[in-house]
Amino acid sequence: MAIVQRSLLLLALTLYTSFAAGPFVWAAMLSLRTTTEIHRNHFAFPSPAHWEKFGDAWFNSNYGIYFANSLQ
Amino acid sequence: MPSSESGPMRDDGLRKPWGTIVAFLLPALTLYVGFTAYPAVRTLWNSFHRVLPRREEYIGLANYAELARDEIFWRAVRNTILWACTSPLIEVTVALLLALALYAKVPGARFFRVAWFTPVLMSYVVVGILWLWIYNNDWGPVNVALRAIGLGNWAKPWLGTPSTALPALIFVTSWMWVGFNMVVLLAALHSLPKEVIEAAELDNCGWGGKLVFVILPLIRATLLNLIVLSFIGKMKIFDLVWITTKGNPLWATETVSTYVYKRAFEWTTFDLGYPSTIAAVWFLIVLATVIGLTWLFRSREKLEY
Repeated sequence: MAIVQRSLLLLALTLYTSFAAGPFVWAAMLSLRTTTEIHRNHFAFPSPAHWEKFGDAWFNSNYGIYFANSLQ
Repeated sequence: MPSSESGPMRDDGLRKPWGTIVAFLLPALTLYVGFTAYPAVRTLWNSFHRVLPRREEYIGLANYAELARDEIFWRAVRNTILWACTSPLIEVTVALLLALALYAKVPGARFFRVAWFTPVLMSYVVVGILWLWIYNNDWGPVNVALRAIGLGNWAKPWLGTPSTALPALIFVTSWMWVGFNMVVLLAALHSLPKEVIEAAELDNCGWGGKLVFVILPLIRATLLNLIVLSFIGKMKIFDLVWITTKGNPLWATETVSTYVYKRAFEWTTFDLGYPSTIAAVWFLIVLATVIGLTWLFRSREKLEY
């Protein structure tokens, strides 16, 4: 019986974890896709993962200045 | 001969070095007066005037009279107090359940703790934008999931319907802060003395009895502190509302902070006296409620263990 209780507890905790961390994981997936790809299917896994978007975002949008401002 | 006097000048011939004391206090005192004391007093002063771009007119209590008749303000007060009352209850209850689950030693406890704490680390702006997408009517996960499991007629624009907008935002803040409350409660649970719980087990106390009669009274102080902290935090909320709904639809999510901002910077007539009045009255309301809460939750007996 203890096994049943334990596995139910684990299931409940896993469900809550997907609820707590889910938005973050979805945002991470969105960050590796282009806008057109996102419009086609909002929840697909990033198929060609566009890692260059991160460098793009940092250098083409003054991110360094904003980051330093936030730190101060 | 031992000196039995404790007068300020008799101890060993030294006097207080007033020059040094003032020199060390002056920088901090200047910052405090400049950025905390003066703005507070000036806001109170402004509330009795009509503050126009280049002059002030003394109008006495006219602002306060207008405030008493202002329906939007009282709607905002109702929204904010509703938020501040329901959010702590949800957050602390769910956090307590999660903390008890982790206290009962499940596998992967450390991973769960990190996963549940990540929402706390995000800024309200990021959280607001993320949940704007999540609540999106066409492709947000909430509505997509509802339509996928056949509850399509429950799918609606959550942030655009006056009746569901505020509960939706309360849900977002609960999602954010449950992790923080859980971490604090887990620490409180781990600091409980094992002897008391073992004594309860020796007395054939079931899990429910142990929870209600032993564990809860011992962590009562932590629970109440978390509730008060959450209450105060929700009374001040601004950026989440501003990013997601700006107080719409139809003042369903208007909070006092957003109303002050709108009156100060987005109103057709420029007058800084009225928002100062709102700020002064709100300060008194928050002070009164916090004093009330602390008095209500004061500890009546000392728990000895």
